[in-house]
Amino acid sequence: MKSALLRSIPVLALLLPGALAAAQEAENRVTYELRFLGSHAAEVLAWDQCEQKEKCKVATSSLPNDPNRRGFLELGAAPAVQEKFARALAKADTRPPSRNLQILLLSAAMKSGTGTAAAEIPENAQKALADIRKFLPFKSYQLVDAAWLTATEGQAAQGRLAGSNGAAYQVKLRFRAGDQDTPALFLDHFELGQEMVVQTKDGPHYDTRRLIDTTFSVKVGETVVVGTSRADGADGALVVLVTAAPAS
Amino acid sequence: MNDERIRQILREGDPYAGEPGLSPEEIREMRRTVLNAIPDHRERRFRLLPALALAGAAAVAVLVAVLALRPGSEITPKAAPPRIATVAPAPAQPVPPPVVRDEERPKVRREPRHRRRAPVPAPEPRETVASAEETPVREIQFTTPGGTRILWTVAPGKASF
Repeated sequence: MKSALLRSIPVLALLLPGALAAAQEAENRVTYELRFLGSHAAEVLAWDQCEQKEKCKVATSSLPNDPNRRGFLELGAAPAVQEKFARALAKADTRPPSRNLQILLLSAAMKSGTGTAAAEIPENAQKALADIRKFLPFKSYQLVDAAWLTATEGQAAQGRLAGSNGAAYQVKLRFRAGDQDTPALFLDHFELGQEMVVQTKDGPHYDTRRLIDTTFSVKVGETVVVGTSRADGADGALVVLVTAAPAS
Repeated sequence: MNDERIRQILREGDPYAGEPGLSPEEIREMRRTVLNAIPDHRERRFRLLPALALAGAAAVAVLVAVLALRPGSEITPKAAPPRIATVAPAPAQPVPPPVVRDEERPKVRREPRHRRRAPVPAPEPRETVASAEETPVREIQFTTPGGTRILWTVAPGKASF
């Protein structure tokens, strides 16, 4: 019995450093909550803080259905690296910027209208209206509806606009903010659809007819004109004036 | 006998050792004579070159003329492919078996009842070619003289908004 114990001492001596290292590694593993930052961006951030890559371990998990957080990041690294990463994450994991966009829906016609739209149109869009009056062949512009959309970067925002004769339109958009050098918004999705009711055997079926589907950039304070018309026959058009409001 | 001794004997036996040699004029005369005596093959070859080039060009011209004037060889520009718009193929509908009247029924030996007739294969979905008048959605982007940017979508059809 005594000899067996004596014989196991060298084996234990060999295993001890590995066990200690594993215990130390487990101690230096920290899980961070990601609220707004994507898992890939957080992973890159973690690796950036780790100067000796072979001594770091990074793992992420996403929570696509959780409205309050994007996921978790587990970092196994020395305490100094953990501190650096915690500071960097606190700086980077902030709410994405939100922007207000003014949407004005106008109907344009070849015939001269009775009233003038200029009086109804907000002052910030007057210049754009004056420009398109000189440039486009339509003789009258009537304001159909207006809306303000507050959109968060990278997330879809949508609004509903009432049309004439009970028609309704939907505006959907999503933007990416430029950096400080180019303070413009890039609308990587802008869609105007007309809501339609189709009578089927099973009752009314609600559908949306897509009228405009485009992408463009808009500077803060600028008004961009997005319009649509038919190739033949119809003499009317729909015009949307999109203005990016300055951040409050 | 060493080299120096041989050199000395040769110099003593040279009959023109005291002569001054040829004058420059004589040297040039001799050079001209020698060069003129060499036949110039290169010159003769280049003399034939224009004639050969002319003959080649004439042969090419004759060949082109023969090919162009051959019946049925009119050079017509390739017609541009017709602009067609395709619509999504209609879903394959099961085809009912053809109704055959009695008088038209071919006289064939009836199969035993328990053997089912081979099912009529559904036709392959074919691509339906719509009329060429279909206009695709187009987007035009331009800037007015005042600096306002306009993005205009021209949609097909006649329906108003």
